[in-house]
Amino acid sequence: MQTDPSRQPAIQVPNQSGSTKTGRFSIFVATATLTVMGLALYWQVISVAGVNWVELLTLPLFGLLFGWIVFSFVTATAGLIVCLRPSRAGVAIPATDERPLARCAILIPVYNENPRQVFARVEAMLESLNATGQAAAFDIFVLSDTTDANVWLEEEIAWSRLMESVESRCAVYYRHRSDNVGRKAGNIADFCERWGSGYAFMIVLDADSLVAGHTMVEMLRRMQADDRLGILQAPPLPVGRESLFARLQQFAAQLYGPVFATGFQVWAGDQGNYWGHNAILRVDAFRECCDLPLLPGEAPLGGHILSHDFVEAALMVRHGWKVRLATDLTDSFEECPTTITDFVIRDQRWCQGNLQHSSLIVREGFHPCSRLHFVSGVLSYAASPLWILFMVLCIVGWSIDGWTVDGATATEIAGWLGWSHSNALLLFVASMAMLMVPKIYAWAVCVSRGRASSFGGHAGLLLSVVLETFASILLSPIMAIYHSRFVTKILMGGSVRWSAQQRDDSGVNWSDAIRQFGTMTLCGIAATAALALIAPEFLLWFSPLLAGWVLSIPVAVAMGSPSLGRLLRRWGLLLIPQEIIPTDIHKAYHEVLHRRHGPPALAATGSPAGFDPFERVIEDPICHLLHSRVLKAGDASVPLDDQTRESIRSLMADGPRAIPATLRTAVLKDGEFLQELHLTRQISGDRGWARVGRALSRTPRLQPRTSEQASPPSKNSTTAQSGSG
Amino acid sequence: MLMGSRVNPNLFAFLTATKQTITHMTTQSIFSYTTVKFPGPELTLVTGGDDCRWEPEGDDRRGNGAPVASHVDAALCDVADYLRAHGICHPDVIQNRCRTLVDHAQHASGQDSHSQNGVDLRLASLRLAADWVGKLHDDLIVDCVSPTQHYISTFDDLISDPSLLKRERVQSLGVQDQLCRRVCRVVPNAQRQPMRHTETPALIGPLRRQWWTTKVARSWVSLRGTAETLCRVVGRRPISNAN
Repeated sequence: MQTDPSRQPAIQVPNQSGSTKTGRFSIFVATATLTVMGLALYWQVISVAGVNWVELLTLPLFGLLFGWIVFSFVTATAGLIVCLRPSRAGVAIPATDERPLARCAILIPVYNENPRQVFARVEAMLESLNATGQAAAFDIFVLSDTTDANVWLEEEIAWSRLMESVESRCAVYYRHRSDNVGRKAGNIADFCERWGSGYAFMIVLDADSLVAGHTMVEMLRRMQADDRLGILQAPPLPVGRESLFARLQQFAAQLYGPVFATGFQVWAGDQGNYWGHNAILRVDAFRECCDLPLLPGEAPLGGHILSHDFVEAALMVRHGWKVRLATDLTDSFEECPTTITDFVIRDQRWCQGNLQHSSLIVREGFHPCSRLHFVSGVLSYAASPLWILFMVLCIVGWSIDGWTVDGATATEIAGWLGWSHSNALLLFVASMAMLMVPKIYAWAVCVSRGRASSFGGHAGLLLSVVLETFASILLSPIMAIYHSRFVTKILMGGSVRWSAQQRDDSGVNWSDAIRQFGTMTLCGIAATAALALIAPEFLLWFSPLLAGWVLSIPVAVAMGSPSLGRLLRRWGLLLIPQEIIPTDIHKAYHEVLHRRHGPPALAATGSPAGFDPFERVIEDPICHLLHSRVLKAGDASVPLDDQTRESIRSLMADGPRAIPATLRTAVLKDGEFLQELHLTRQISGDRGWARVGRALSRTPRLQPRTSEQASPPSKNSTTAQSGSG
Repeated sequence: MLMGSRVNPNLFAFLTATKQTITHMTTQSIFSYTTVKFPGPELTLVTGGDDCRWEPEGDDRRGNGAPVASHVDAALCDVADYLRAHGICHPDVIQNRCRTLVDHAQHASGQDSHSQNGVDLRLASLRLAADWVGKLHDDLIVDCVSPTQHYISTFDDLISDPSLLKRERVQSLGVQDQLCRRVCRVVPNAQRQPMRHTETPALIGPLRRQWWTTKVARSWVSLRGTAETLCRVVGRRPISNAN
C-alpha cells in the first residue's frame, strides 16, 4: 500500500488519460480562439478614432482580462457537456470492496474558533463515523493553535466533556501548540512529524468543516484503491448560515459549483488542486513532498508561504502524485462568511497568500496545470485592479483623442470610440454573456437532472438565479475596490493581519456600515456626478459599477441581515437542498449543539457572562489538573522569564482579570508558574485576590523542585492503604 | 442540627475520616446543612450535603497569622481541602495523605513547624499534594507507555469510591475496567519523523542571468566551431589565432 517516494525521481508526470488530453486541447483551442476574436473586435473598436499610445497599452490588458473570462466560460461549457452526458465516468469503489481500511487521522486545525461549535462538529462526525461501523480506522486530532487564553481553556474543557460523554472506537485527541509556527501548514506539518508515522492517510478539515462519516469512509476507500493518488479533494459546500449574503453564496456554490467543478476536472485531471480542507492526503507522500519552501525576499510576497494548499498540491504533482477532485462525493460541508466585512477580512488573508504564488509560477519543476492553478489564484484578486486600470486607461485614451481632435464633442468622440458601434456592442454583449451564460448552464443542468425541487421548485429556482445575478452585479464593484486596495497594499509592502474568522450570523448595523463604506459611497457619488457632467452618454454604461459604490452602505446592511435571509427563505428563494431536507450530519450537529449548549444563539456566543475560564483554571483544582495534563502531554510548557513572572505576581492582587490577554496565554503555557498561582490561590481561601497578591509578593517563591520534592511520597502510597496512617 | 465539641488538632486525621459518617448522618436528618463545631479557636468541621471541610474559626480563618493552632494545622486543612476538591473524599485516603504530605513538606525544608514560614509550608504541602494527584494519574494508568499523555475523566468519581482504592493494587481487574472507560489519551505517543526538506525551486531559465550567459557561451562556442570549420574549408587561419 505504502510507496516509497524517495525512490521516485524528482519530477514525474503520470500518463494522462486520453480524455484529459482531449479536454485540455479543446479548452485551450476554444479559449485561444475566442480570445483572439475578442482582441480583434477590440482593435476595431479602438482604431475607429485612431490608436494612441495609451490605447495600445490597453490591448494586452484587455487580452489578459478577456482571456481570463473566456477561460472561465469555456471551463463551464466543458462542465456542462460532461454533466449532460448520460454516463459520467466515476472512480467509486464498489461497496462490496472488503479490504480493511488503513489507518486514517482526521485533522481539525483550530485557531481561536468557537470551541462549542468545533467540538459539537467533532461529536457529530464521531457519531456519523460510528454509524458506518468503520470508526476504528479513524482517529480525530483537534490541533489547536489558539492564542486566546480563554478560548484555549474552553477547548480543553469541551474536549474533556466530550471524552466523558462519548464512547467510540475512534479516538479524539487534543493538542495545543505553544507556538503557531507556520500557521495552519505548520500545524499540519507538526502532526505529520510527530504522529504521521502511525497513519497512512489524513483527512484535513477546517474548524467549520462538517463531513459525513460515509463520505470519509469513501474518501479513504478511493485513496486505498489508487496507490498513486496523493490528494483527493471533496468539494466543500457552504451551508448553515442565514444572512442574505451567506445564503447568496450558499445558493451560488450549490447551483453553479457542480458545473464549474466538473469543467475544472476536465482540464485538471490528475493534476488538480487542493483547497486546504475537506480533502484526504497520503501522509507519506505529504511528508516527502510538502515541506513548504521559503520564498525568496521579504514579506508580504516573500518569506513563509501563507496559502499552503495550492503549493502543497503543486509539490505533490511535481513528485508524480495524482491530485484529484471528487466531484461526485456528497455531504462535505463548510460554512461561509455572513457579512461583506467578514468576507473581505477573509479575502485579505487569501489575497496575500495567492499573490505570493506569483513567484512560484515562474519556478522550475511545476506542472503546467499547477502553474495555471497559481495563475488562477493570482488573477482572482489581481483581476479587479487590472479591470480598474483598464477602465482608467480607456478614459485617458479617450481624453487624449479628445485633445488631439479639435472641436470634437464628447458625443462625437464617444461615437468615434465606437460605444454606439456594433462592434463595441458585440464585445460588450460577448463579455456579459461569458459571465452570465454559465449561470444558465447550471440552471439547465439542475432542471435536466430533476433537481429543481431541491432549490425550491422551478419558479423559485429561476427567481433565485435572477436575484443572485442582480446581487452579484451590485457586489462586484464593492469587491473590486477591496481587492484593488489589498493588491496595492501588498505590492507596496504592507502585510495583512492573520486573524481568526468570524463565522456567526452577527449582522451589520448602520453605524458600522457607514463607517466602513462611507468613503466608497462618497467616491461613487463623486464619480457619478463627474461622469454626468463630463460625459453623460457613458452614465448608462457605467451604471452597474456606480450603483454598487453608491449603494454600498444599504447593500452591506441588507447583505448581513439574517432576518432578510430568513424572509427570503420563507418565500422559497435562494433555497439549497440542505435547507429543504437537512442532512443527517447537520441534524446530528444541531442536536449536539442544542443538547450541550441550548439554543443556537447561545452556543454561538462565547463564555457565559461572568465566567472567566482563566480565573477558573487558577481557582479550580480539576480545571487546573486538566490543563496541566494537556500541557504535559503536548510537551508544550514554555517558562516565563523572572521579570514577567514578577509583574504578573503584582497584577494578581487585582485578580486574574487584571492580567492582560497577551500575558494570560503566556501564563497558561508556563505550567510551573501557573501552579504557583493556583496553589497560592488555594491558601488564600475566600479572602479575595488581594490576599493572593500579598501572598505572592511577600512569600518565598516556589523553588525549583529538589530531587526530594520531585518524588513525592512513595509510589506505593499513591493507592490508598487504609489504616496506614 | 448543630453539634459542638472541643477537638485537638492532632485528631484532625481521625475526624476527617469520620466525614462520610457525618455526611451520612446529615443527609439522614431533615437538616440540609450541618456544622460540627468543636469548641475552641482551632478548627471547625463544616459539612453540607456532600461537602465537608475544615475551617479555622472566625473571620481571619485561613490567612497568614490567622488564629490557627499552628502552621501545620493550616497546611493540613489546605491539603485536605485540595484533595477533596479533586474528588478524593475517602477518609482513609485523606487521613493518610494529609499527614504524609505535610510531614514530607516539613522534612524537605529541614525545619520544624514552629520556625518555618507558615505560607511557605502550606504552599510546599499543597505543591506536594498537586504532585501527588498528578502522580496518582500516572500510576493509575499502568498499561500505558507514556502515562503523562493521558487524562482521567471523571477522576473524582473513581477516587471517591473507597472500594476502588482499598484494593492492594489498583491494576486489579475491576479497577482496570473502570479506568479503561475513564482514561483518555490527550495525544498518542509521538514518533518523530521529520518532513523532507524542500528547497526553493530555482527560477525558470529565461529569468536567470546564468541561463543567458550559458546560452550565449554555448552559442559563441558553436559559432566559433562553425567559423573554424569554415576557415579550414577555405584554407585560412583559425579565428582564435587571429585574436
